[in-house]
Amino acid sequence: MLIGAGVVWTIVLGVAVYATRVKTDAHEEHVGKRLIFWGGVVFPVVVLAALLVYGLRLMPELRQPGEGLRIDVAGEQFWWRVRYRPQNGPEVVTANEIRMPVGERVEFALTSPHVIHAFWIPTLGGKVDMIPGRENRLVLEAEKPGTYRGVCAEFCGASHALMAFDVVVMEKPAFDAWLAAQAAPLPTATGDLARGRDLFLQNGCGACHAVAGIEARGEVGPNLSRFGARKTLGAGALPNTAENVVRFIAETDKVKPRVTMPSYPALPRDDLTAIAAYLGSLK
Amino acid sequence: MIASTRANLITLVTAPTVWALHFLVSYTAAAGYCAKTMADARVMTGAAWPDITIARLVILVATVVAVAIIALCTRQAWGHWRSGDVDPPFDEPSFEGRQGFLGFATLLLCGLSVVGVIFVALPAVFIGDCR
Ligand code: HEC
Ligand SMILES: [Cu+2]
Repeated sequence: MLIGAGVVWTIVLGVAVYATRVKTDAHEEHVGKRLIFWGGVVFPVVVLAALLVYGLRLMPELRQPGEGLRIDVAGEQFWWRVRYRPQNGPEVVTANEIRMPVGERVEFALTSPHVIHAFWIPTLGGKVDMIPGRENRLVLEAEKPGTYRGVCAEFCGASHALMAFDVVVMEKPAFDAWLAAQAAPLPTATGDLARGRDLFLQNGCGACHAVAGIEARGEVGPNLSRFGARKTLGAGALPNTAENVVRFIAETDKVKPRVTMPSYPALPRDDLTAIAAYLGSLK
Repeated sequence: MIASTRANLITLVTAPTVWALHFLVSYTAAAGYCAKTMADARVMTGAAWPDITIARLVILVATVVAVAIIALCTRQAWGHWRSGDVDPPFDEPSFEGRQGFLGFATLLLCGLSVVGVIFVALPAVFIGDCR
């Protein structure tokens, strides 16, 4: 593509130099006519037709079904609800982070419950809108393991700019092991962590957040079952450290304007730390 | 199409109008058909993607009709252009001059329109479902 652009650019500039420097007097009329017909009509039509056909042929490929793994991603305000649907094995629900195996065509099913978002992982492919009432498909294949950044690419409200996610591309065996481990039960919290868990439940966090194995089944906010393994907090808003989690809970609205989650400024510092420690232990 | 023994503004705009109508038909055929079938077979259920052969056939027919009309238009414009014995730049204030000018401009618009129609139709050749 770049080479083609280079060729066209060179031809155009070559002609310009020729016209202004080399041959400054007029062409004969029939030569000029022929130049206009071939250079100004036939050449662009042929080049554009070839580019169009080339581009159109690539399009179905991008939309072919994936090779097994399907990931449903819903754009929420202002985070990402993620559901892995492996061909064999249980579904896994997470949020704000996507893991995928390298060298495999992974199919994304993109939806949104309320406003339009756009799902974009610039390193891996073009953006696709998430439109309420529709399901858009996108197939991506990562060529190199690593961590990439994805963003919401369609303005969706006050915290649109704080709506990102990490994409972790893993070798296939590591990915399979990771996915299987997600379905395994979490260890029971003990000691200080148990206090954090109880505070989490007492303060009603479970009404909006689900954590596997305890009485927290809310679906309004991100699933926190493996929250401790996420690199970022609040859909890329902050690095995921205990300190930031405390801050996020105490002054949610300052960290991320207009999110559905209420701030908890009245919670004692001690309790916040315990909750943050508990959430950080969920891996 | 407006057949006319004389070139006028209506024969001039015939080809671009056909192009516009072809675009309209192709767009509504694909969008309407996909919206309907996708609503019927919500893909969430894992069902196959509805195929759009019907919409593609509609586009095919529309394309054949459009190209045929533009071809007739071209032949007529050619006649108008060649009717008088005048050459570009067609700036004499005479009937032949006007006919030559209008005929030639129509001819060029016919060329543009036929390319437009084909470019509009090409996606239907390569894309076979509603994804
Ligand atoms: C009214 C529902 C609601 C309640 C109650 C609620 N949250 Fe949230 N929470 C949310 C939503 C929605 C988000 C996503 C915000 C965003 O990033 O846009 C969120 C995000 C979070 C996150 C970041 C998750 C991530 O993946 O980065 C943490 C941690 C969190 N909440 C902890 C808590 C704790 C602890 C409590 C109880 C003290 C609580 N939440 C109560 C709705 C709620
Ligand atoms: Cu968004």
